[in-house]
Formats: sequence, structure tokens, C-alpha cells
Amino acid sequence: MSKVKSAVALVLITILLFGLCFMCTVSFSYGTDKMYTFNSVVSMLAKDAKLGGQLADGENYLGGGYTAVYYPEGVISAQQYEDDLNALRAAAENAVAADKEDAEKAVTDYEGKYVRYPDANGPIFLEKEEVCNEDGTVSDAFKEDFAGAVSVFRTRYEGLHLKDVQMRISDDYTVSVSVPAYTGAQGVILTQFSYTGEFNMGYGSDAASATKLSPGKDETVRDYVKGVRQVFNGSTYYVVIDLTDAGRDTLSEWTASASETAVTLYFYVGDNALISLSVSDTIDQNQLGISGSYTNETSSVVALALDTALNGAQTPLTFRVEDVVRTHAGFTDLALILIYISLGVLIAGMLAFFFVRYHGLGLAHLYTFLLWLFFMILIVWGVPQLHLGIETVLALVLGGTLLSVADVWTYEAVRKEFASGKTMASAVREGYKKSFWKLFDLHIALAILGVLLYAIAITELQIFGLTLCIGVLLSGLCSLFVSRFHWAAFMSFVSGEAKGRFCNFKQEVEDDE
Amino acid sequence: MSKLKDNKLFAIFVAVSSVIIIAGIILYALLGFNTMADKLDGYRIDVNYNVIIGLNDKEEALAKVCEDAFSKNGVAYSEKNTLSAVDSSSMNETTDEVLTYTFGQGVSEEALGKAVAEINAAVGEGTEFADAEVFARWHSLEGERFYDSAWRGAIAIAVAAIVALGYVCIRFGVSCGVAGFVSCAHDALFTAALLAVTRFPVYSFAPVLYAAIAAFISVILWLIVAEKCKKGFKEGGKAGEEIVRAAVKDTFKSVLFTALAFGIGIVAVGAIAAGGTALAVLPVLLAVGVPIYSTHFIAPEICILIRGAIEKRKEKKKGGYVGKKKAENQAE
Repeated sequence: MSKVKSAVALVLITILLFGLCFMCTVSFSYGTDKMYTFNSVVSMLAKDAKLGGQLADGENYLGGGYTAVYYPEGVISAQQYEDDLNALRAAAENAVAADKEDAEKAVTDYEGKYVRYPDANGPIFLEKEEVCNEDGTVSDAFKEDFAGAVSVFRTRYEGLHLKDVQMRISDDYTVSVSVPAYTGAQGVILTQFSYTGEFNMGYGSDAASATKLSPGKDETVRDYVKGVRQVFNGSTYYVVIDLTDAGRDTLSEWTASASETAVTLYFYVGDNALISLSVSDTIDQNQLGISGSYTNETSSVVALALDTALNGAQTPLTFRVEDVVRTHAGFTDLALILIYISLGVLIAGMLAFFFVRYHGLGLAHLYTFLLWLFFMILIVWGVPQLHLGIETVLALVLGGTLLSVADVWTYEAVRKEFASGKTMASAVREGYKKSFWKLFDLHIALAILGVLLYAIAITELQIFGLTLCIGVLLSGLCSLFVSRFHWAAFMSFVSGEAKGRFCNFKQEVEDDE
Repeated sequence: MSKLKDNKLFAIFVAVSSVIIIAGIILYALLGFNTMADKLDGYRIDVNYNVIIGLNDKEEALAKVCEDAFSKNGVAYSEKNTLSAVDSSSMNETTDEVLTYTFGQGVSEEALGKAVAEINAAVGEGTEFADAEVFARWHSLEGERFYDSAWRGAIAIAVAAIVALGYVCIRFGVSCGVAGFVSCAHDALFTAALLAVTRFPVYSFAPVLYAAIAAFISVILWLIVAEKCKKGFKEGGKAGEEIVRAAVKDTFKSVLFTALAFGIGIVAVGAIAAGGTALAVLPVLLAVGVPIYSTHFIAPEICILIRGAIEKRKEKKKGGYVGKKKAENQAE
């Protein structure tokens, strides 16, 4: 490569690296009163529930999650009880003489309606008759119904296959659930998964008054609908309802006049319609695919909620969603900053090794590594399945180390060739030739490992597999081609014997004697 | 003599690995991993209050009231957070906040109840917090474990290892491929088993992730040796055992340097990181260390065994029926 070409190429690459570095790492506010904010790619990376950080505007927070508590009918929080009772007492105090007795009776009735659980300082109140006996002993029927509901919630939350989803039994008779904020569908998840009751479908002008399916004697809804699932086709997510022949006939009957007057179909969990589908043609098929504005998460939630209502355990209990809170990073906000610092220290250490061992050649590795790093950051930001978590950080560390190790192997191979008396150009050619298949096989085997982890595993391991696969492939390209290009570009400014000194390579001097 | 010594050591290594893996499987089946790091079980005290506290800078005073009540009742919290309350229908943050204290499993419910009663008495009417609607509650928490990701992860690692090492079989020969697969499976199982046996506290997602990392490092380290073996097999002239042992010896430094590079990466992130991150990252060192052991002591012996069997079969073939024409040619 000529000096001019090398200079132009290096200037362009340097400008690209500065641009990428700026875009990836610098955040600032600008404009009158700093109205506008430029957020770096790193700060905008989606973060999981364990990591999190504030954007440069100081208002928006990325990462962390949401926690909510499902209260079954007949169970209220101590705070709710206190608020209700205070309201009734206030009403009794302010009541006119004629109503005072009724108002005071309402207070006494309310006090007598609930038992505090598990003791006088307990966190919840249980409704007598509905949940427990007069003495506060929880009825077996309630326990059984609650266990059924827990089983349904468990199937739903586990079936989401989302990392950082947690479920706990809180205070023995409520369910606390946590979902990560990166999904963007936390409201849908927390609300729609709280619905319990049987699956049903109907048609009409609105969900409340729709004509619902009434299975005949010795029949259930399952004789009409086999199941509900999520399907991804190209770029669209669907909720697919698998109908039996009887279900197909029923829908065909309901939508027979749809071409003249549009019909709306409803699919329910208990009394809650999760899907309302406007139909303008007769439906006569065993599979009903419903799209719309579904995302991966929302279609999965609707499909799981409907399917568990159809095929899961049944419970007569209904639940309220309360005590919703926004949680910040599980590892504290400091964790992310410390991870960035540790990655910085790691990169500095790696560069120190390269510059000490390979002198000027360290520049070729620096340029290659920075290109790899910034592209990886952009990929983690741009690929919807990816977000920043411990597994992503580990995959980046492993991928970066692989690139560095690959460069060391190649540089050492070239060093060996150069030492044997070859010219630098010939040593580089021979060194890369000898290392090519070694590096190629290594990267291909590791990429296969990564891609299969992504394809088969779920949650953290799936994200690790995808990040690793991309990182390994990029590392392969960088170590086999980009690094060599950078080497050639930098070497073109050095001539003669200085080439060896530039790379800290020495040739073995044979003693004539 | 040297061969005898190596074989003896191999038997010891296999025995050690088998004992740890079997013990790990049994302990996992009986107790699972020690997933205390998730903090799914235990107790929590939530102190709800409205914006007035924030407006009057009384958060610290409220926290002091709570913490005094805890120390008076002999309960110690492990974590303290201030969370924003969210409207359950719009999912927007409200002006209310929740001060939460997390406690371990060993805390007495009675003591928590008393502490909560004291907090509520100290923030009621007539106090500086009267307008802030402060209300404290304690909660017992019992985590539900999801196992889908663990078994799907285990299948993924097994399939990925088989396919990746299938590629190694094609490129480096059956002996290197099978040895690599055994080493890879060994490292993944051994790493997970060590976590089960030592009862080291981990996050529930971690064991399967560490197993995958062990498989990843295992492939890298074994390929360094396999590449050298392939060269030796190609050159020929020596017995398989000799070639493999020479390859292990020649690549010893490379293998150690590579493992060290990965180890330094893990230590750097784990050592500087905050508590939770360190607990998730530092055990990865196990996943780096185990492959060094298997690359030097398990995989080469497997490779030698298979190579020996292949060579024997070839020898047998040489001495067998080769056809009339070929026999005549050989005789000439």
C-alpha cells in the first residue's frame, strides 16, 4: 500500500472512530435553557432489571422494572383497610343526626367484616365468610382456589420466557410479580395476566352485551377451541386461535352476515375481553390468526392469558392489581458505572500489553479493537432482542478477549516468520497464511455454539448466545482482515529495518563462526 | 513407565470428575442450586408516603424513625430503597413514594410486626409526618422458581456442543472431535456441579450461563491443542499417543496464556463491579479454570484412546483381504 493511500485510509478510519466514539459515549444538553438533549448510544442501550441508569435529560430512566401485587377478592391491604375505615369514621363524624346511627353502624360493620392476618400487626385483612371463618382461620376452599390461581399465574409468567420476571407469594394470600422495564409492555403484562376465569368467545356490538358461546350439555369451551398461541410471521406477530370443527362452524354461523353488516368477535378471560376483532367477511377456517398492533411481548401475553384460561387450572377468584411501584436497577445504579469503569480498565490493560510487546503494532490492534467495540455497541443498541445485562457484558468481554487473543496468535506467528530471516512483507503473508485456518475454525466453531444457544435457549442464555455469536463473527472478520489492513496501513510509513523495530520483532542473527 | 503414569493419573482425574459431577447432580435434584442471591424469599417493610415528605426534605427523618424502630426490635435490614409508586391503570409514576427495607429469612415476624406498629405510631396524627399519609406494612415473601430456562439452557448447551464439535470432527478428525465433545460436556457439567456441591450463592440464571461459558472456553482451549494434533497426524511417522502428548506439551503455554487472558477479563469486571455484579461475574472464573484442567488431563487421554483404536483398525485392515489384483501388485 502506498504512503498516500495509507494516509488517506488511516485519516478516514480515524475520523470514523472519533465519530463512533462520540456517538457512543458522549451525552450533553444544548439549546436555550438546555431544552434539547443528545443521549449517547451507551446511555440509550436498553437495560435489564438488574442494571439501569438515568438519561442525560435527568428525567428518563432506563432499566429496572415494575412490581405489582395481585390481591384476591376478599383480601385487602392494611393500608386500604385503614383508609376505608378512616373515610367511614369521617363520614360518621360529619353525618347529620338523622344519618349518624347508620353511619356509625357502617363503621362497626366494616370493622366486623375483616380479620387482620396473620396477627394484630399483620399486613393484610381477610374478609370473613368470603375468605376465613369468624376466628380468622382461612377456609380450605379459599386456599384451594388461591393455589389454582397461583398455578395459572405461574404458567403465564414462566411462559413469557422473559428474563428478570419474578413471582412471589406475598403475605401467604397475595401474589407479588415483577417485570422488567425493557419490555415496554409492563402495563399489558401486569393487567392482562391478573385476569382469571374461563375462556369464552362471543359476538355483538360491545364486549359487555355480546352473545357468548354457550356450550351444550356435556360440552365445554374446549370442544370449540383447542388452544391459543403466538405466531411470528416475517415482521408481524399474531395471536392464533386453533378451533375445532364445532368452533369453526360456530364462528362461520356468527359471521355469516358479516359481509353485509360488520360483526365484532370477542375473546374473553372471565369477564374481560382481551381481543375484539371486527369482521367483515365470513370466517370459515380452523385457525384464526389475529394481528394488529401486537409486539412480541403483547401477542405473547394475550395468547398466554387466553390459553391458560382455556387449558389451565380454573379458579373462581378474581384479582385486583395494586401497590404498583417502579423499581430501579437491582444491582444499584452505581453498578453500571462501575461496569463501564472496569471495561475501561480492562481495555487500558489490554492496550498496555500490546504496546509493550508489539510497540507500534499496538496501534493496528487498537484501531481494530475500537472498530469491533463500537460496532458491538451499535449492534446491542440496534437489535431489538438485545439489551444490556450481565450476560451481555460477559459476552462482550469474552468476544473482546477472543479478538485480542486472535491478534496475539497472528502477531506471534508473524514474529516467528520474521525471526527466521524473512522480510516483513513475506513474514506477514506467511504468518497470516499459517494462522488463517486456525482462526477460521475457532471462530466458526464458536459462532455455531453461539447461534445454537440463541436458537434453543431462553432468557439470559439466549441473549448471551446471540451477543456472543455476533461478537465472535465480528472478531473473526476483524482478526483475519481488518487487523491485517491496519497493519499494512501503519507499516507503509516505516521503511527498511525500522519495520522490525516498529513491531518489536527481531531477526535471529546467525553466527558465521 | 511414562505411559503407565499418565494412565494412572487419567483414572484418578476421571474418578474425581465423576464423583463431583454425580454429587452435583444428586444435590441439584435434592436441593437445587443455592439461589439466595436472587433474594426471592424473606421479608420486606414498605413505608408508603406522599409528596409532602419530599417537599419538606423529611425523607431522612422518616428513615431514622424506621431504623430506630428496627434496632429497638432487634431486626437488621439488608437493603434499603426508595421507589416511586405507579398508577396501575396508566402505569405512570405518581407523586407517592415507597421506602422499602429488605430483610433475610431469619427475621422474626413478631419483631417486624412490632417495628411496623411503632413506625405507624410515630408518624401518626400530631407528628411532623401527619400530613404525609405515612403508612408502614411488613410483608412475608416466598419466591416461585421457574425451571424452564434451566432445562432449555441445558439442552441448548448439549446440542450446541455436539454440533460445534461435529465441525471439529470434520476439520480435525474423529479423535479430536470426540475428545473435544467429552471435554466440553465435562466442563459444562463440572462447573454446574461445583456450584451445586459448594452451595455457593448464585443467581438462578447463573449456573446454566456459567456452564455455557465453560463450554465456550473449553472449545477454544481444546482447538489450540487439536490444531497441533492435526498437524502431527498429517505429518505422520509417529504414533497417535506420541503426537497428542507432544501437542499438549507444545501448546501448554498458549493454552495457559489464552485462559489467563479470559481470566483477567473476568477478574477486572468482577473486582471493580458493585456487590451484585461481582457475585454474578466472579464465579465465571470457575468456567475459565475447569477447561484448563480438562484440556490437559481429560481430553488428550480420550483423544489418545480413540486415535489408538483408529490406528489399530487401520492396522487390521492392512493385514486383511485386499483383493487379488492388489495382492499381486503388492507382491511384485
